[in-house]
Amino acid sequence: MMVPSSARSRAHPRAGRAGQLFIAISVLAAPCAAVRAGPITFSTALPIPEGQAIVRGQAFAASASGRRNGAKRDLTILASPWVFAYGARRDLAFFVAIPAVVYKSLEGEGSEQTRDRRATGFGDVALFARYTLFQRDLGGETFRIAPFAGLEAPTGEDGVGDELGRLPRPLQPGSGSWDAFLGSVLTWQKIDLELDLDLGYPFNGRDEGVAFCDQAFGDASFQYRLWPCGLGRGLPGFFYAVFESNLEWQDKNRIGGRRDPDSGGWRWFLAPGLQYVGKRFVLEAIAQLPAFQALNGEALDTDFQVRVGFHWNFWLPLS
Amino acid sequence: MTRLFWKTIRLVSAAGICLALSFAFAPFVLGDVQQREIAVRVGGLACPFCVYGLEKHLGRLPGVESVETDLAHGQVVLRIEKNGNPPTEERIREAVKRAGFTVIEIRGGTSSGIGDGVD
Repeated sequence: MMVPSSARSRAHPRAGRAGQLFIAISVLAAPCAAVRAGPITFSTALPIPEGQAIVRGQAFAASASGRRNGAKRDLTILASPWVFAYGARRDLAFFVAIPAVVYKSLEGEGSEQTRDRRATGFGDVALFARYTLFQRDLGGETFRIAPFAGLEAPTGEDGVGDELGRLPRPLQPGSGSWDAFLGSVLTWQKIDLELDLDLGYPFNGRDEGVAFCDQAFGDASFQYRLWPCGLGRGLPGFFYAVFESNLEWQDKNRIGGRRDPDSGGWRWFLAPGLQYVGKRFVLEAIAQLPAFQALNGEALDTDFQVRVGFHWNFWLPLS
Repeated sequence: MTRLFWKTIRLVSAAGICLALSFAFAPFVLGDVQQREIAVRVGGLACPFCVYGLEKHLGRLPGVESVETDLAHGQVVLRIEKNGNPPTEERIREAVKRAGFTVIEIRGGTSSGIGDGVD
């Protein structure tokens, strides 16, 4: 499931126009991604057994580019988000998402305003819970609906600066505000394919007198088992072809009650990927390519986003 | 008379040998292995990553020596310890439930009903 993040589709108006550049990129949606076999860019409703823990690590890279006032700008974001998930009950799981390392680099041509600026640090930690509201199990098949809700705490660094002073808020690894979010994920899984859909709505907080914009997202993921083609007895690993769609909408920010014309918009990504699913671990890789972008003002267009990661199962019974 | 005596001896010897062989091979012929396994058909089991927690829950049940999953048929076979008591059906159902899945069927006996695989 995607959760909002400081760097995800959000520009801080106080940051000035530089902040608007970042509206085009979604970075730390990765920590919210699945911690079960399933989608790569968001989560699934598949169960986390009571007493079982899962760690997921990803390497994330994104590139965005565009022009503002005639000057070319390139944004590069690298991150290493981690998620720890724990099955508290058969129908209740808790998640901690930690964007361990976030690196953002904005390179520009022309005036001092567009010179290179970089930030590295820890991002905001998100805590959330998922409850399985509906479950229908058949032989080799399951259908589940699981709402989720959580909070993102301002634990990340938000005071990084350079010789020009404090970096714009969107360049900071942390957001500086408390944010809440909720949504729901639906999963239909069979022995040879899986379909996941999710919808979510973050309620962004206020920081230093600035109201961040509202957002919404909808994702779909289809996974088809490529190998093995036929199943014999036992427990083989599965190779899946993955195809995902990520749609994001962001309203305009408000500064002093007024809407910021250079914030908000629509983005739609299509993402082909591959996933290997074993009993103890999952390996995965996906490239998110922009299919449609309609961003307000002078936001940068996303060129691509890439995620490579793993999940690892382990047993951690508390009783 | 003598012939009848030896004939009786031979018959009794043959019967004794058959009886001894029957005891010796009874576990294989009559299925002692069958009595040491429980097959659980689990609903909702459709990927290898989901199997780990389920096997942990079932493997923790008292009396269970090992657990083996046949994903193609959604079936988990519990092998019971040699001198152990098999877990009750209620405990098996509870373990599967805590793993987030649903029991479709529990069968004592062997995994002979598992079949040979499907596409």
